[in-house]
Amino acid sequence: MNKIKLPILAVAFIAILFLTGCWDNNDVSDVAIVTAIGIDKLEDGRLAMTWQILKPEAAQPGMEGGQAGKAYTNYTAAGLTLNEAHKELIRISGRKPFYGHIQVILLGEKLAKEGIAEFIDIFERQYEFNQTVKVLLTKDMTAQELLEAESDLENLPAIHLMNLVEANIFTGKVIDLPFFKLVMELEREGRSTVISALSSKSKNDKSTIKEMQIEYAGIFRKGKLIGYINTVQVQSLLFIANQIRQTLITTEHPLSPDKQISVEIVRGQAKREVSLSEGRIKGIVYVDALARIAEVHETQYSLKPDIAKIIESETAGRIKQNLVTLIDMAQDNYGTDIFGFGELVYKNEYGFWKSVKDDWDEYFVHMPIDVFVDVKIKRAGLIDKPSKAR
Amino acid sequence: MFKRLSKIIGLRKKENSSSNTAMAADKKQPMVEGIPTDINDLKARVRREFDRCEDIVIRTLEIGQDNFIEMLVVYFDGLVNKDTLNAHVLRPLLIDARIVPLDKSVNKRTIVNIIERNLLDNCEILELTDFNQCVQNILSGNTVLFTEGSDIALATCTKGFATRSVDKPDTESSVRGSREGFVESFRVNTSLLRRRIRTSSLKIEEMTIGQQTNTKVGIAYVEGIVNKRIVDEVISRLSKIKIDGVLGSGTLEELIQDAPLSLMPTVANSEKPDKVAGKLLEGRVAIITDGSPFVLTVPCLFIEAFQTSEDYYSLPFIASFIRMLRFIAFVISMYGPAFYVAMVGFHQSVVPFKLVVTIAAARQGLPFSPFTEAFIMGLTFELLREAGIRMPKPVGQAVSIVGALVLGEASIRAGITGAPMVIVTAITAICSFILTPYTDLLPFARFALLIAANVLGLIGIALVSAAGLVHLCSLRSFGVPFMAPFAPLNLSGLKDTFIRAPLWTMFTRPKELTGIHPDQNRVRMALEISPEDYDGNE
Amino acid sequence: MQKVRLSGIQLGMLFVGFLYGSSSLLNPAFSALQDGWLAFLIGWMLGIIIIAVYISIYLLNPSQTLIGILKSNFGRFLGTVIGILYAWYFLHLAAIVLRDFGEFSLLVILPNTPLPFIIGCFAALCVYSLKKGIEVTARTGELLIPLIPLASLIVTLGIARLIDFSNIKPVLANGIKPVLTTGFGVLSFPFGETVCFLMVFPLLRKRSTLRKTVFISTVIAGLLLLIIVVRDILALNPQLTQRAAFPAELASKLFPVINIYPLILLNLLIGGTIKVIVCLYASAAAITELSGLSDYKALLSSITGFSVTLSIWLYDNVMQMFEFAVSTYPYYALPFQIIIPVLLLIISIIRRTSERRKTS
Repeated sequence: MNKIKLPILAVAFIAILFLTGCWDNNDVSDVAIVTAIGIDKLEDGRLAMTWQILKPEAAQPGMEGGQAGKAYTNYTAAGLTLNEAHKELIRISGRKPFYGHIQVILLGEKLAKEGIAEFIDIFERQYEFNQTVKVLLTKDMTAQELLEAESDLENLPAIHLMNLVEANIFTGKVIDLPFFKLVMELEREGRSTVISALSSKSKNDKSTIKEMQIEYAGIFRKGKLIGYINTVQVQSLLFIANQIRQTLITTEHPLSPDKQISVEIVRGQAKREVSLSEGRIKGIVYVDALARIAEVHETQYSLKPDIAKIIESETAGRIKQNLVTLIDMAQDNYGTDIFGFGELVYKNEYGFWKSVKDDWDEYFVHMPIDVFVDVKIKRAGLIDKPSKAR
Repeated sequence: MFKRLSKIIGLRKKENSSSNTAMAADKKQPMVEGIPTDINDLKARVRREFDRCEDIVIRTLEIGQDNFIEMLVVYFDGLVNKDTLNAHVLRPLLIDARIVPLDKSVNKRTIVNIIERNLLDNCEILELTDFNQCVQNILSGNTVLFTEGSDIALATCTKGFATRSVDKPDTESSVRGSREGFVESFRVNTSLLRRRIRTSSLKIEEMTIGQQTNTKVGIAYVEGIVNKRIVDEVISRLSKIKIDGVLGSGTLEELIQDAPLSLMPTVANSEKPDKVAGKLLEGRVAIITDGSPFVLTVPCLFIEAFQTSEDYYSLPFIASFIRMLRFIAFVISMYGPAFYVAMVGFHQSVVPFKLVVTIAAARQGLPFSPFTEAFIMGLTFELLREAGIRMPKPVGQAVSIVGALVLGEASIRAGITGAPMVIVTAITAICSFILTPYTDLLPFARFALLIAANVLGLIGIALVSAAGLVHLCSLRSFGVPFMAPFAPLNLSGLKDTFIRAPLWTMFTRPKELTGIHPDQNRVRMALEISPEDYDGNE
Repeated sequence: MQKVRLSGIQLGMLFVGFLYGSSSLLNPAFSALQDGWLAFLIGWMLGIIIIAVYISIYLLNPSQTLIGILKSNFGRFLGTVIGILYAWYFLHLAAIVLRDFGEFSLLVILPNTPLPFIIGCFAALCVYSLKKGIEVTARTGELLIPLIPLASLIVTLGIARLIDFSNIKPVLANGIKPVLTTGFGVLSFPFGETVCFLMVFPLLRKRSTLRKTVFISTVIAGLLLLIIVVRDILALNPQLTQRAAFPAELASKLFPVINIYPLILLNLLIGGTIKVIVCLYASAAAITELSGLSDYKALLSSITGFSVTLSIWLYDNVMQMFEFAVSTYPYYALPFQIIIPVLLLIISIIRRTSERRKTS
């Protein structure tokens, strides 16, 4: 029996080899590597999807001869769903897009206003999407326009955009929002999402990314864009959300108000709490920051401990002022809980949450929130006072 | 119906086992043929035996003073050292024999005894009564003396054929270890072992294999360490071999394999006496084949390919680092191309973005798919390797230069292959040379994995690897599981696998090899010499 | 024929691989949302109890496989009938796991490859491994199974930065009922499925170590699974875990810098293969014993072929698969995992005591 078996097995093996295809074997040079996606809503209600497709031969740094030109090309296609747009793209470009290496997803303003939650389904459902891709909004322009902008720093605008977001760890003024976090935040009880937005400095020139800035962040309520906050407010938001890695606070020097002093926060730690007393919810925010003095324009006072104390309290005051402004703005102007107090109520006071679940935002508007800020200056750099011109 | 089936299966089993025993019983029983006492019969018999062997020398002597006794000296020209023969055999017989009273009247037996004990000043003399044995002795370079009227022949050791002197081994070079290598001569090889293990426990049993070549084969082991069952198994397997010729140890290796159809060798070989001695001391059995500088050792475990004698001569950290390098090399040389194909074809999202850009750029406009490319490059490499080995040395260099050029520059320039593929092939090649015992079988694994990777990506690779691993785990080498000490797991055995633990921590002998009784054969190293004690003494 | 024997560590590894392998992908306690950990703990405790029942059954009927035990306790006819049902159950289990395999590969990496081909490849590996003998499988398992927790732990450590401990709150928001239901689900998948091992226990070399081996491996597998369950709740948040088809795959995608889903693949392949192999072995051995054959290896190919066919024919679509796993399976498995074993235990104890009385 074994004598018959072996040839049969061999034939079967060879047959399998030649008869079957390599169904999912897509060579990397045959697919279109998408580096960025922009999604816009068109006037007729269809979705337009813009792909920034890599042209590897031009993106390759080591290759000789720069004649290849731009390292990317943009394609736009539209459809009722994003998948339709995707198929449309294949129809016009003739290549299968590969989404494993998207760097940023840009959401157009119009789309954001009409609600984003449903349109990100594709990124979760399809297997090859990169879940850690950064998400950004575009303000006053479409995502397509933004993707057309060139970068003078990087080969690929997508990389440039991603770097803009990643640099947040130094500035503390941009919300670094990976895609999966966006999904989590949208889904959380009692929390509204904030996404950083790119806008153009001047209305007319949109040709390079240099002209763009992440100046605002869009506030979402139930997945719909309702307004923007500026970078200072983003900084405050990040303070409250405990996401500050490094950021700079500049204030007047407390002892000579015409001179500026910059304090670099090296670690900000925040704690939010809610307390339920007599059927009322009260929110508390504690911010503890470690700082170092980054720049002093004041030449008179040397940085003695007591001076440092004064600077500490001045900085704390500035931060607190910023936080309170933001909280007031969220409560009065937008009327939505971007800080996640509702989430805290849901988690810690579940019984109470059930009674306010459906109109939490209205409850939030009237909720008292206390802010406590404490700054500790740990060091002051290599010198004491700046040099003084005599 | 099932019962019938099982009966058939059962019957077959029985038949198999009975035929096995029959084979064992049919062990070679050489017929004994007496030596003719009559000198003329003898001459005729010897002539008949060596008819048309023109290099035979049959010389008749007459020794003694008065009543000459006829003797027959038989040897092969070229196999004997004529100086020895002249000075220590012929001279005593022809000249010194005159002093010793030799007489036909003396008892026939004693003539031979006198010759053996009083005359010949050659160191090694055997008494033979079987004519076949005489023939064997003549064939192996001894000189055989037949005496008129006696049925006892004397074989004197006059071996003196040209042999290679002990030299550096070609296949395994060493930096700190001994530079000696085995040679083709059986006796020299046993002496190399004997010199390293100076104990009477080192047993070297000898047997002859090959119906025509009559090759001498030695089975060496250290009694007291070795598992007796393994020795018995080796002897029984060797004695079952019935083949015309054993021209190298490879023949024996193939014939005593546990799994003859497996790619994996379950018999190890080495050219270095210190390595073989080390293995003997771990409880292995060495098989020395006359005419081959490679000594086989069994049982052979998977891990042995990763161990070199050098490991035990250098410091544990360095040795462990190199050991791990070898494991990495093994993985790379097996998985390199397959992994590349899977990554480029299936799992682009696993590769970091910048690397994808680089690879995509390099692959732009290439005519072949990654699989075809890998296949061609792999094949080219194997061709070059074979050419490099078989070519005479000066030409071999030329081949490698051309190969490097063809493989490297030209194929990329011409746009036949991409630079990443060349890098992958090159690193695979380099790594495959690190593990010399597996260099020849790695291409099989590599191509199988490559095909699987092309069809199913990483799943394919994983499936084929798992199947391979199952195969490895199913292997046994002379009863010892091939993957020991990993599977079955033996924690103390792991000290000499991925790392090479300090010698004073490996104080027990390998458990798998040294037998069933855990109390016996325990200590390889006395515990008293661990470094702590040195501290105390100082 | 030389009798197959497993060492304690081999059986333990098989046990851990069986429990941990495929359940680490699916997160058995996802439907209890943030109380998943509690549900899992309940399921785990119940699991230990039911496994203790299996061990006691075997120890009361030493050196007998499940079929032998059934025959000696329920009588020849009834025992055979129940034995056939068990053989079917093991086969069905193998088919379910094979399908899980296939669907995962299909969803995660190979969307265009035909399902039968993938399942066929997996099944071929299982057959090959079993043809070499269960002890070879166990030896291979010894090498491979330690890799599974390693893979999961790497993923877990990689996404440790996402862990938010407040995610387990509010505790028991929806009352205890869904938690208990999920706990029951955890009992049937994966702990109750170890009833297969009643066919494997007789292979253990030293019977005295059985209790210790199985107990330790249940605890280890439970701990490892608990880490997975808690990780999914804390790092992925309960809602995401519930929506995701394979939470482990999602977790691997959140690994910083690179995407390491191949590790999850490894996990699936090793764990799933071990599970399928044990199920197929149990089924083959059961049928062999029922039909009076001498060697299970002769049946392997046909049984596996049947199991592959069954796995493809089992569900029309993935939705059915998940639905079956969550709502039907625990009740379907109930008699095999709990009712019959408990009955067996009671009858065995009664028989044992009456025998003792007779002898004394």
